[in-house]
Amino acid sequence: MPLSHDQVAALYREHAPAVLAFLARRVLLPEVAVDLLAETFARAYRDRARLRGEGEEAALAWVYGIARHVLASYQRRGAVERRALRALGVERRALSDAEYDRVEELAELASLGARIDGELDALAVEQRDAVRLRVCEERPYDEVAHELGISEQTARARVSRALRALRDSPTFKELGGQPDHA
Amino acid sequence: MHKTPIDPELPILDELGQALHEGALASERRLVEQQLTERQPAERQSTEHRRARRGHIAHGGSRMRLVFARLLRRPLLVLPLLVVLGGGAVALAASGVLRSGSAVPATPHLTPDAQLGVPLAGRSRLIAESVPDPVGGPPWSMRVVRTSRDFLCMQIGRLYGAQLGVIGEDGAFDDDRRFHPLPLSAISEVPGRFLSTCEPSNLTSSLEVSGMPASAELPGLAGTLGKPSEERRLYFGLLGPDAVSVTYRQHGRAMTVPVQPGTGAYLIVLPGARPAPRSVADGGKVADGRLVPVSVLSEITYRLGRGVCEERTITTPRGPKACPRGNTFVAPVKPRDLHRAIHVSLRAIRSARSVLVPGGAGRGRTPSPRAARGGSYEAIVAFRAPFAVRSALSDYSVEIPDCRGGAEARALEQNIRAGELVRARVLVFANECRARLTFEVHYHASASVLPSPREETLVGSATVSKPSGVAIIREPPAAGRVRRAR
Repeated sequence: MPLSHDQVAALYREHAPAVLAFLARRVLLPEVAVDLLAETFARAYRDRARLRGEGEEAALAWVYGIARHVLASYQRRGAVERRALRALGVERRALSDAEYDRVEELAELASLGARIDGELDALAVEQRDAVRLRVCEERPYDEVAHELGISEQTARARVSRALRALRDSPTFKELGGQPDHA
Repeated sequence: MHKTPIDPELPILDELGQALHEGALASERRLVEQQLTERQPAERQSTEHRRARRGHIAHGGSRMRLVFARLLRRPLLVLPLLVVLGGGAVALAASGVLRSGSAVPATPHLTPDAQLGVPLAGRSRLIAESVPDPVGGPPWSMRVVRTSRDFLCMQIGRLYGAQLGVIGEDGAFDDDRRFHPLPLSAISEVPGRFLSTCEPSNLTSSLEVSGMPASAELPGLAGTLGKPSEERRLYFGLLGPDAVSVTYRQHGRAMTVPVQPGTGAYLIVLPGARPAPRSVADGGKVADGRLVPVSVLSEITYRLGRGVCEERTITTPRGPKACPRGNTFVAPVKPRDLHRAIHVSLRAIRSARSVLVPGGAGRGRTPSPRAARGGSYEAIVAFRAPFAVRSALSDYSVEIPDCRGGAEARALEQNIRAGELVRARVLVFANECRARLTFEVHYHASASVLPSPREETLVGSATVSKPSGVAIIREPPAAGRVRRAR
C-alpha cells in the first residue's frame, strides 16, 4: 500500500529515535548515524509509492530495510550517501554536545563499547593487535605486518580470523552488522 | 506541525523531520510542474483531435448516461439505518503551488426540494486518507456530500492543498496547467464530465472507472487521451455504516484499506491496465440482495455487533460468504391499493424524436426507433398525495403496465406535502402500448427497518383510451427474416 507524505511523516515522528539508535549502534558515531537517519527517511519519502505491504508494521519493516541498505552503502563506501537528501534539498546543522550525548544514550553506546571491548579482549593477543592496527588505526597491511614483525600474508590471515571471531560473537550477532574493513 | 517534540533532548530530530517533509512536498510540486511542462508540446499537437473526439462523445452522451443511470439506479443493497456522516475525516495532503484556476462549474438548477437537492456543506467530508497516484503528482481523494434530499454523492478528484479538484491537463480546461477546485455543488447522479455519482443514503454502491487520465476529468467513454501507461483504474463506492474495510488484490497480494466511518466510502486507485478501455461499470454484483464484491474487490468487512464479518467474493470455490447483517433481500409483495382518485388527460405529440425525456437522467427512457416512429402522446396524471415525500428515501411514480416498455415509468423525484395536488407529465409512445391503457400511481418508501427493503403502495389507477390522431404503425419484417421465409 503506497504511503502518503503524512504517513511517512507519522512514521518518522513515531520511530525516528529507534531508527537512529539502530543506526548509531552499528556505526558507533552519532553524527554519522543522524546522517544515515536523514538519508533513510529521504528515501522513504522518495519511494513511498513502492511500499507493497500494509499496516504500520509493514511500513516500519520497509523503513528498516531502507536503513539497512543505507547502512550497507555507508559500510561499503566509508561515506554516507546523500543522494535522496540532495534531491529534497535538506541540509542539517551539526549536533550539539547535548544531542551528541543523547544519541549515545539512546543507542546505549557506552555499554555497547564495553561489550565490544570485552569481545576484543576475548580474542587471542596476536589477533587483537592485528585488528587494532588494521581496523581501529586503519593502517595498511604492510605497516601492520612491519609493526607486528610478521609477513603481510600472516597479518591478513590474523585480521581475517579475528573478524570472523568477532562476527560470530554475541554482540555483533545482536547488532546484525558486519565489522568494517572485512 | 506537531507541538510535542519527538525527543526533548534531540531537537534536531524535529528540525530534520520538518525539513524532510517540506523538502518532499516541494520536490513533488516541482515534479508535477515539470511533468506538466514536458507534456504541453505533445498535448498542443493533439488538442484539436481531443476536442473533436470529446464533441463526438458529447453528442451521444445523453444516451450513454441513461444506460449508466439504469445500472446505477438499481438498488444494489438496502441498509437498515440512515447513514450518518462520520466526523473528523480530514484529508491530509500536499499544500498547493499549482496556480489556481476557475472552479469546476456547479451543476445547474439544483434546488433543495427536487431531484438531488442541494449539498449540505456542514455534512460533507473527505475520506481520511488520500490515495497516492500511481504515476505521481497530487494524490486522489473522494468527498462524500450529503444533500438536502438525503442523497449521498461521491466526488472524486485530485487533492491539492486540501482542496479537491481537477488539473488542467490531458485536454481538461484547455490544458491550462492550473488546479480547478471542485465545489460541493458539482454533483451529478451519474458520472458526467467529472467523477460524481449520487445514491439515496440508504443504498450502497460500488463502481469502477477505467482509463482515467491524470486530470481527473472524464473526457468521455471512448478512446484514449493520455498515455495508456499513465491512465488509472479507480474503484470506489459507498458500503454503508456497517462497513469497516475493503480488501483488494494488487500484484497478487491482498491489500486492506479502511472505509470512511458512517458512510463506508472507499477509493482505490491502481495503474491502468493495457489495453485500457475507458469505461464506467458496476464494481459490485448483486446476489440475494447483497452487494457482493467482484472485480478488484475480494472482500468487504462489516461490523456485526461487537465482532466483524468478512464478506468474500462470489468467485471463491465455496461461493460467497454472506454476513448475517439483517438486510436480506425480500421479494416485493403485491402492493396495497388505496383506491384514490387519479385524473389523466392526454395530448397528441407530432414527433417523439425531439421530446426531451422528463425526470432527469436515470429516470426517463429513450424511445426505441420503432416506438419513436409510431407517434406519441403526453399524459398529464393528477392526484392528491396521501403521503409526504421529504427526501430521496421515498417517492411517487407513474407507471403504465399496459405498454411494452414504451411508456415512461416516471419517478417524480421531488418533495411533496401530504395532501398536495400533484401533476406529473408522462410521455407515451403509442406503438408500444395498447389502445386502452391504465395509468397507476405508486408510492415507494425505503424502509428504515427490515425485513422489507422497500414498501410500495398503489395510490390509485385510471384507464383511458389513446387520443385520436395517434396511429399504431405496423412495421414490415426485417429483410433478414424475409429472406429466411423464402
